[in-house]
Amino acid sequence: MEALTVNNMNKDQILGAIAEMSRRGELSQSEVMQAFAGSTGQPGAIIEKPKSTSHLTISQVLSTIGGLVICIGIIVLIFQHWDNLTSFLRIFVTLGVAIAAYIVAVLFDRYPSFKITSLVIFAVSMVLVPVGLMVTMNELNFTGDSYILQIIVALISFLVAICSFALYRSNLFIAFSVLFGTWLYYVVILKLLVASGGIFSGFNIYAYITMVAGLAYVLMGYTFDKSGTERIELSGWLYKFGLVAILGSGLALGGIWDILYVGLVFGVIMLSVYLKSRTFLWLGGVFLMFYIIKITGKYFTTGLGWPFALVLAGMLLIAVGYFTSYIGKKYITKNEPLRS
Amino acid sequence: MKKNLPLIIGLAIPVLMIIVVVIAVYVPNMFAHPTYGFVFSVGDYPYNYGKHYSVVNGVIVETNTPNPIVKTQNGVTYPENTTPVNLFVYDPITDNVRQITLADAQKLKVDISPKSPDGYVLDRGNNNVGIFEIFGSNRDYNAWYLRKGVVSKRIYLTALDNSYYYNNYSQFLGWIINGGVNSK
Repeated sequence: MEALTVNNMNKDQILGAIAEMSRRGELSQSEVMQAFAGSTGQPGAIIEKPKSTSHLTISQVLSTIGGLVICIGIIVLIFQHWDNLTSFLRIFVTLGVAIAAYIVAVLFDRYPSFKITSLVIFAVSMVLVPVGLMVTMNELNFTGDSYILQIIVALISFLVAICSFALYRSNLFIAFSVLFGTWLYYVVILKLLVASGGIFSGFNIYAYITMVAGLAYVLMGYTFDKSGTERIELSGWLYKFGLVAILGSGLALGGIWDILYVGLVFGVIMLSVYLKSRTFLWLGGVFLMFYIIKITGKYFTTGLGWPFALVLAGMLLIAVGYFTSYIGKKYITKNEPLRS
Repeated sequence: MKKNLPLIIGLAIPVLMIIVVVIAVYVPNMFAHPTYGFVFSVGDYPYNYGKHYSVVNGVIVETNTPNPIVKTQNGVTYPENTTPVNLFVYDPITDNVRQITLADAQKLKVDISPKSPDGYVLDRGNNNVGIFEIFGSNRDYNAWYLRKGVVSKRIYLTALDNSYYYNNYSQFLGWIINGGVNSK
């Protein structure tokens, strides 16, 4: 059988081969874009900017609004009649609704034309699961402390989200898995800190656990960014939240971090070039500005006095603005891949 | 595998952080072995009339501030505004609290230093408000610790009826340095 080559493949076959390889994970979007960018301008080699994947259809917008209205309506109804409800009804209208919504979403998921609706109802269910679990534990007279309660609820919610992702492979469940996983991570550590007897009392442990969470977000975002699949839509948000957590925590720490922070923030800015991400550049620049204001206020006001310190800070902020703009235009804007 | 390595690392580091915190919290506690018990009084409100306990030359003494305001009812005279004051001993070997009489307490030699001879201090638990109370808080005012550096042992200064021995009306009197930790 004659092997297919470029010469005897038409455009549809080539596009189909690209789609198949992308589905199998053998070809990424960035590689295809690089192939376009590497063309030498021969006739027909037109470089077109791919269409944005972030626009919403009317159906998606209305489904989202509908889902929100459902949530608000349920919450208001429950809130108004809460005292009149028996324990069974309280569990029914929270956890029961969450389970019912999940089942409805599963049914809608079978029909391709209702995919968006299914996702919206899945989102409603995921939001109601922890609420329902909290109500259930309360009605069952759970007597443990609030951290133990949250650990149980967060763990169950996290497992539901992970199992749902395993079944349906949707970005929605990754988002909720990250959310519930982060909640679980924080409450487990906070519970451990209660038992610590203040071993970390002279130590801003909260900044470090936030920094670790932020680093995890960035690494997950990087994986999704390089996957070339629909997961790339999550990478932007993971980068944003992760960097805010890392840079914000570093800024909250003092002492040696007043020195290390310079390396951290410039490292983030330099990573923006490697990753071709304006998020890294923007957030690096913004937090560099905060850092300048913090250091100026902390160390230079007594020596220079406030007016001179403000002038110095202002000049440095202008310099940071020009620097980040230069980096963005020279290294990032033309080559930045599409993300959310 | 190589493609997912950042994801694996990203998922692993929060788990590692939890493990590090577990080790940092529980491992030092395994090395907490306080050997000196202490005496404390309960109900010794400083501005109240009535009994008060203090330590003079290593011995617990009782003083009495008489209440000038009295009331007479049915021919019986009652002093007002006095609360019962009791003495208790914490035993670190049995990790238990027992009430003692003044006579027993005066047999003990007591060191009023805030730090015990083996280097432990009595410290209140961490009033943990978490992260701006986003995840709630754990205000356990009745968590007490015998702490020595990074090592600490939680002790429970509570009564069986769920009221708390050690509260704001309690006073640490001193470490028991004679009679051993099994003073009766």
